[in-house]
Amino acid sequence: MQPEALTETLERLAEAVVLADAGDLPALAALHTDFEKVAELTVGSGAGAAARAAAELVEKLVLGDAGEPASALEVLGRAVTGIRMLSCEGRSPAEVELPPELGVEPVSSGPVPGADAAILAEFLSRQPTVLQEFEALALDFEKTGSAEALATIKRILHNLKGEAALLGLNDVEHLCHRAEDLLGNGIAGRAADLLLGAKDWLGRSFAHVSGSGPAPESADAFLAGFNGAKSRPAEAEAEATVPTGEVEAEAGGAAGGELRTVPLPTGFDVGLCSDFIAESRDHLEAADVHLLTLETDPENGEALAAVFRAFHTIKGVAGFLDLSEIGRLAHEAENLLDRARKGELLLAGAAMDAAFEAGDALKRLIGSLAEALGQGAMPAPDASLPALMARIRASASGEALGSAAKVEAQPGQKLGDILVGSGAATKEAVEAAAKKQQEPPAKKKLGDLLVESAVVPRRSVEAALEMQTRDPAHPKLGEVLVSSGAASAEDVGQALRRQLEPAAAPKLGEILVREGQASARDVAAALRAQKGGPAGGANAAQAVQVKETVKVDADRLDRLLDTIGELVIAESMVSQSDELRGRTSAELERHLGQLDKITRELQEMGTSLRMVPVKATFQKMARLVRDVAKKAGKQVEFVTTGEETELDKSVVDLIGDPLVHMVRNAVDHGIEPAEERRRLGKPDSGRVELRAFHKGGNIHIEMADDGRGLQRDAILAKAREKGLVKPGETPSDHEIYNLIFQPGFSTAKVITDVSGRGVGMDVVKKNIEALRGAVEIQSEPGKGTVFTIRLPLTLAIIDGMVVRLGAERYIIPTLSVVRAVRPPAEDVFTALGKGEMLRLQNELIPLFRLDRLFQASGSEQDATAAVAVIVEDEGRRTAILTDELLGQQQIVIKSLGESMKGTPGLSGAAIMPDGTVGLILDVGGLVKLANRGAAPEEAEAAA
Amino acid sequence: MGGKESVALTERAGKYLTFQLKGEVYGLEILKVQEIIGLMKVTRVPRAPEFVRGVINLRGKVIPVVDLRLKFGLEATADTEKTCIIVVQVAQPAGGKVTMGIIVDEVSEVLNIAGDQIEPAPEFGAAVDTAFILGMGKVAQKVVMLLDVDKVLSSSQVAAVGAVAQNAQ
Repeated sequence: MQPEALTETLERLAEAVVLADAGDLPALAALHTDFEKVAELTVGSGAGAAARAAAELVEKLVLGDAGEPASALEVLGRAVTGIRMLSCEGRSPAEVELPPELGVEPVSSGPVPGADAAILAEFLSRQPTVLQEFEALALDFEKTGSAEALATIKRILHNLKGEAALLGLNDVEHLCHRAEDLLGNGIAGRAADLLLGAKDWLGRSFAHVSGSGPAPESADAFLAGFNGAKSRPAEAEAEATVPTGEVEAEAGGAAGGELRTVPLPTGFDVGLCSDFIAESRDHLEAADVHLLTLETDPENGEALAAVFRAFHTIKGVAGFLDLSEIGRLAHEAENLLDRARKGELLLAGAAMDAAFEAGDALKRLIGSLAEALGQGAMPAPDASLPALMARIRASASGEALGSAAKVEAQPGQKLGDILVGSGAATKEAVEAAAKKQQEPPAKKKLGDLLVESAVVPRRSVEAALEMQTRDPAHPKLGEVLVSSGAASAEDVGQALRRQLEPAAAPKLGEILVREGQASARDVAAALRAQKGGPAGGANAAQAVQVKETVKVDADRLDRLLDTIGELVIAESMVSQSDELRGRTSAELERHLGQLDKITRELQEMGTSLRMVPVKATFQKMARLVRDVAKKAGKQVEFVTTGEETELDKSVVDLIGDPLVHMVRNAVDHGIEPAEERRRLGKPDSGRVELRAFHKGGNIHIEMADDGRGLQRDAILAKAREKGLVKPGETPSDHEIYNLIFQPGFSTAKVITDVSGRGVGMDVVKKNIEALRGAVEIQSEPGKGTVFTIRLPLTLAIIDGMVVRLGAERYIIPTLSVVRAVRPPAEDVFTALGKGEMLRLQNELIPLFRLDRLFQASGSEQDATAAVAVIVEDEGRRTAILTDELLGQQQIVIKSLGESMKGTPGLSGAAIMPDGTVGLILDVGGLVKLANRGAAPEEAEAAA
Repeated sequence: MGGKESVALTERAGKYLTFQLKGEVYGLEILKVQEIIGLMKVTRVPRAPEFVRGVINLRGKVIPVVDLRLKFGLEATADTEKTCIIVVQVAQPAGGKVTMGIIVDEVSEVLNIAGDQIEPAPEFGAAVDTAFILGMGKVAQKVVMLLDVDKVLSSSQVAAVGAVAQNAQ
């Protein structure tokens, strides 16, 4: 088709939109056809996407699904203007603002239907790396103010903008564009906030486009925080809130004491509230994901329960915090979900929309709550809430449930057509119903809304209206107001959104049901079929797969490693078999050599498959340090070394949480505030260092701070009070520090000096031990604390020392073996007739006989003829008496199985070279077993 | 006994793998049986209950092996050529399945037992726990004790290892 055809169609559209009446079905049908034609003509560009979305909006308008018809038409008008600028005037997408309302969900940020999915996938696959670099640069820029970093940031933003425009990711493009602007305007102090916030937003947005997350707020909503008011806190900050009493107090101090004097209700707990905000955001995000599931599968009980829980929790906490608006809204939403959960209501159509809307509104309310709290106030009541709540209530008592009739329909087909097609309603009935929708519902004009909200004086609106009629291009009222400077684009946008909110037009399905022309069940089924997946739109956007990496089930990877491990064993069994050795054939030798080489290579590859650098995890900590420090009003310098150190993927995944706890504690409680540091003669800025390195076949991760250090005496006193240390006992420093890993040991209130040093520390220890690692603490009062995490290289393969005990063999992880000795008679003692001791370089360590612990028979009873393996667990040394060392071996760890795991003294099993099972000793468990078992055993021996 | 009981018994009709323990004939639902393997070297697991002979390597998977004679309180005998391991899938109370081996004197045959051939397990009084007997199958002059393998080998029993071993001490 010719460009003229496009221009002509667009001109016709522009006129038709202005003249169109929401009730005039034939006119709307013509609009629809034209928009589709435009979409066809401009397919593969931003204009095409807009036209497609506009066509969908017309469809909704016909169905009465589009909220306020007048504003929908207004949106269409702006869409036409935008499309014309894009396609006929050849403007770049960056210059053209398409109405954000075009999408039901922020489809406008979705990719262009028909845009090359491969290009998009390639683009998306690159973004995580880009964003990581971006974040690192932003942090660097904040720290050093490096012009180079800023230049690189700008370049990244610029590239991103260009690519996003090409792919029709309008919102992303918009954000990058504005961020560039803002950086250019020099908002120096807040640049880092903006950049980090933008990074988070982009991350969410890309996740959404690749179908793995809910849509982020619109780019405008995000940017709103950076436009005017400089005192408004970045959203990122609100999210990073650490809700502890101490932080709260310090934050208050940082704000110059203003926080406490504002009209917050007396007794209002800001700390709790920030907690609530962060939690609610998580809940709402989860609810969104489940709602998306429900959209395709409205009877999914699990998802229903999850959404219900989310709203229920928010309601409960909001009630407790006296946030009545949020509480009421959550309550309505909860009711809706409750009915759906009980099967009284099918969560589809209007009910579904209401649920989504409730979620969005809650997000908005919580957003403004966070913002207001940042300024030390409560948000003003939201005027649109009563209408929304009424709508939710209406949908909760609305459509009756029926198990849906089978309806076959093309996704995105019109409801009326589906119903007619499935014979659920006659064509006449549908047409009549569509006519009934025509009664124009009460609407508010844009101008009135703007005047009401005191944004624009009535005079300006009237002047603008007059200008509008004179201008042959029929620009929209909002545009006129903006271009004449009477109102900001933001205010108009807000007014337009408000205009959209109260949906008054009855829905086609509802009319049909009310008049008995179709059963509620059929309509619900038809709606479901319709929702199946609209052509283009959100679902198409989510169908894009990011291809760069193949996600493999960790279990499969483990199985691969297991199998490789067995191959290694089988290979050595073959090549070392006596029969083959007897045959001296150069050819066989060569082949065996080849086999051996391939096997080793395979083993190395298998192991490396699971290895990833710790860099990403460390980088997250950099962000955490920054956010927590900022919140606590402290200066903290964060240094990392050894970021390229590789760790098993599962270890990296699991190490993140413990590190978060430790780093947060270090910044929050370890590092002193600047004044205190100055008094102590330390530099103002605290230092937190994260180091990763290899040492002795293990990976070590050290987290060091130069803060106040652990308060040894306070911990000891507390432990005595709790009965963890018996009176008269004098534990070593090491043992004392380890006490903070006791569950629930340290609470900030009890030991002010250590304030919270133990919060979550038991979890830290548990997580690390689950990884077969260990954590140690060194601390010097006033100088700082060093946490050392020792981790195995990989979870699947360990080095083991094979020992013999009678006819049995056991494996001791080489990690825990210190050395092995054949004890001379003069070094073995019996202490108080109670237990055996071994003297090792003037140190007395307990000696346990493995055969007694394991009730084995036939082993060497003479200690001097046996071998004592010295093992170390939690810094304590123990000697274990075995018959003989059989050698070192790499072993593939196997689980002992559901029924046998937890056997004391054993941590797993391995397949030995001869095909039988060898058992791996759990040194820690063994020592515990020995200590428990010692008394009765001796009693027995004595008897 | 009410009608309910007999309905339940009819449902138990089906194919059973029969095997012998000290001359007594037992049956296992064939659907629970994964395979039958010859006796191989079993690694003893310290501190496990006596009836757990140990663990074996079943093609790379480590599975526990239970000596059914000891489990049922019969005296132990030396293994013979006919001694073998029946590998079964045991359903867990918490859901999921666990693979285990059971050592029996010898495996006999697969019998098709009809519902009317099954009688409820008799009450032997407190001396004999019949909770894990599904019923008694009467086939061609023989009586087969049909075992509920899930109850016989509930892994909580097998895993009650530490506690048992410790108390024994």
